[in-house]
Amino acid sequence: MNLFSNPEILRNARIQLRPRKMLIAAGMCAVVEVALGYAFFHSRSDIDIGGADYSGGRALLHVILWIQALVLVIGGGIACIHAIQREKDQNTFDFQRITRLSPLELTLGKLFGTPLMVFFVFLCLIPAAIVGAVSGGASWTILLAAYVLLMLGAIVCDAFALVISLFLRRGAVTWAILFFLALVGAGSGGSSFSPYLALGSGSPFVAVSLAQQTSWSLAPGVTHVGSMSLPTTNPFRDLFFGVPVHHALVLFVLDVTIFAWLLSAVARNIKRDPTNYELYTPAQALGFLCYFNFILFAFFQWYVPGAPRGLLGMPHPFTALDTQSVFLEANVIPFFIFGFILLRNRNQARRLLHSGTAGRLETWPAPYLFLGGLIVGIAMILVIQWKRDPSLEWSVAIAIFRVAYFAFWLICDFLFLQWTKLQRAGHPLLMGVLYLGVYYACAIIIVSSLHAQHSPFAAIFLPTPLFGLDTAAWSAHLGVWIAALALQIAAGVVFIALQRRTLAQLQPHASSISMNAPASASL
Amino acid sequence: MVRLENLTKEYDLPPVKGKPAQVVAADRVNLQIADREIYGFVGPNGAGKTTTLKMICGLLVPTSGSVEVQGIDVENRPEDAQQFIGYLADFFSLYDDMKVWEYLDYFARAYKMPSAQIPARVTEVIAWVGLESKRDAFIQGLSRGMKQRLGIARAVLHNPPVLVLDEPASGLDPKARVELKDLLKNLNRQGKTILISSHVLSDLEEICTSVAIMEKGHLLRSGKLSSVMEQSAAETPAQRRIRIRVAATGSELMDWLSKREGVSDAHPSASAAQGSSSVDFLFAGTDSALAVLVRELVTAGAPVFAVEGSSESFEQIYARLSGGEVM
Repeated sequence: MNLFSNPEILRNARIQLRPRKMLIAAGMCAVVEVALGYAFFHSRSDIDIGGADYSGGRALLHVILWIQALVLVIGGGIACIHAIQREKDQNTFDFQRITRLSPLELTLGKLFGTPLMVFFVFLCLIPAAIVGAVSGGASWTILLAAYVLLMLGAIVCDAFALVISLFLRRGAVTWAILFFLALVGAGSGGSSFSPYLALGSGSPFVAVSLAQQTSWSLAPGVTHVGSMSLPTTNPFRDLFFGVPVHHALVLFVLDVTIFAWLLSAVARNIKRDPTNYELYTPAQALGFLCYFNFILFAFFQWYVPGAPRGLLGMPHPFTALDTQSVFLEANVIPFFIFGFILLRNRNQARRLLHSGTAGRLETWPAPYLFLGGLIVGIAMILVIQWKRDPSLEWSVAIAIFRVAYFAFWLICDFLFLQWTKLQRAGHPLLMGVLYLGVYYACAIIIVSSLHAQHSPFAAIFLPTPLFGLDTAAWSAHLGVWIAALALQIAAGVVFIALQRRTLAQLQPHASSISMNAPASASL
Repeated sequence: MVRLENLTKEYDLPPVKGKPAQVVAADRVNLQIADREIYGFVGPNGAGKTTTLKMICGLLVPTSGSVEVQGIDVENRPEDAQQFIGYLADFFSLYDDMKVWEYLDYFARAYKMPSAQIPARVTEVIAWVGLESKRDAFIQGLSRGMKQRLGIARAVLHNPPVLVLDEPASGLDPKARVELKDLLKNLNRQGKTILISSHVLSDLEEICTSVAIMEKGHLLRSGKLSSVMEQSAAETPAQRRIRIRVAATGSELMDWLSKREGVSDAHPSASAAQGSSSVDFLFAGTDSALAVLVRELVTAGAPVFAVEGSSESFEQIYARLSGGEVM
């Protein structure tokens, strides 16, 4: 179906874009544009914004782009947070679910239909941006790329807001909006994702900085301090396995792929029974984990033989084992997301038990976490083996042990969380996460007070000593490390037994067969 | 044809006073609903009617069992099955900031009706539910009854063969209720199969061809209305309801009857005319025993002018079968 004939977009257009509302919005935008134009063209000739001198036109373009970015990202995001949740609150969502709109059509309808007024305001501000660009002599290709990135980044944020809206419970909208704003705020700093990555910021607000560029050059910049010329890093220069690539291109690809992940999550669930929501299938979730690790490996600040090493040309600080530590630490959050996606609620467990296809239900989600750990771990070791500095410390045995411990630590935690999620309570998973958080907080406090953060004995309670494990610590306490791993496995077995007991309570009722027999017979 | 096979839905309820609660909202429900039926779902609040209807529509996934609508498995092919279903929820709202025609136009497009047919169909349905004068009005200005009619218009818009209406009469005044019954009869005459739940049993008795009586997720009775009532009567062969009319007023007749053997549940009938009285009672005995009772009554000087056997109403059967307990 053509996006422009999508009934959900049409419905939103009819509600939001009535002539009176459009006139008011356009009028307000015109007033803002005239006021800004007057301020930048008639008050002063050169304006200092963010430490850089601009002509009036460039300054106007800069400010208008910021306003457009804020309107698109925050306005659109808030609208999308309401998109599904409000329909559920008003009991109108079931009527949409029962129509013949495909899940993808309904998702796209909500994604592009709900923020229609926001898009209209964005368009109303374009004339001032054009005036600013023409008078400021902006590069048209760069400006076009900036707008593409701005739109794409905003759509990614909107899609994320739609995911939040889908899973939102009644009465939690305000918290969801605050969470969304906090995430947008945290991501809009303009710095790169991580100091370990040769990858610029992923924020949609990067588009505003891009529009201020005068060329597509990837050469380092130069800052003049008195008579000295100092090289500076080019914020739009990313390294893909060591090859320089323009950040605009990388961000475009990242935005498109992240959008695809978010869109598929909403489309997969939007027409489902809410008690059966499942962000991704286990295989898709595994794919997401692999996608994340590919980004991590591809844009890592790898050692390049013969080249100045490390950040800002300083000596490379990492041994190969340090690199693996960075990868493992970076994987904690993605693996937790992966684990949370895999967790099943009581309804899903019941359905599996009733269908008789449950298999070894009490071990869930261990098999997929183990598989994820195996795939990511092997890939990690292979890529480090390929790109590492051969002169620095590396041990395949330690690397394998770390991956195994990491996987079993996660398995143990998620077997516990799965067990708590199957409990009959108001918010069982939340309680499980709370218990886990309290456990780790207490463990960290005790281990820190004993100054045993790097002791192998601490690995019995916490995964953190693993990240500092080197060949010396390994050979000195091999038995303790192995015991720590064995204890993780033993704890996992305990949670499997507990989960088995909980699942027994969810078995189909034998009594219900006899109770309904007369009614069936009456037919 | 709508077929429910071993349909089961189990829920968890929030803990009450610290004690967790589990509910079987539908427990291995088996039903076959033939085409062109008006099938009534009866039961107290929490009996599992809404859950069952939602599972039929594919809006809730059953814990086990299956639903077929027009031969299509609803769980496996929900969108294919849903094209044959028109649905009205028990509590619903409409898009207040849309106009009546815009609302129907939206759903016509969402049901993927051919674009060329949509304006004519919208006009036709608006006229059919009697909202012509409100065609360009905003929905927020409609009365409760008008909104209910608009909801029904949306449900029938794509001309589905099966209509699922959950408590469509709730909140309607008596006049709107009569109009609703006429609408449903009219739809049934057009060939629609209608599944309807309601608390108003007399309304259901009037329009339904079949009924399912539910309680605590179980089907207590189901089938043709007449066969449910016959079956119910057959289950109490020793007792039948009798009405005696006498051309006199006063409570002596009831007192006299109450003391006779085989008589129970005697109470004055509401349908007595002026200058006469009548009493309904349950009589356990043969026709000969009843004849003896009437002869004794006449001998005692009662001016008996009518003796009638009456069958239990649907409401009475429901009250007898159902404890009216809520899960």
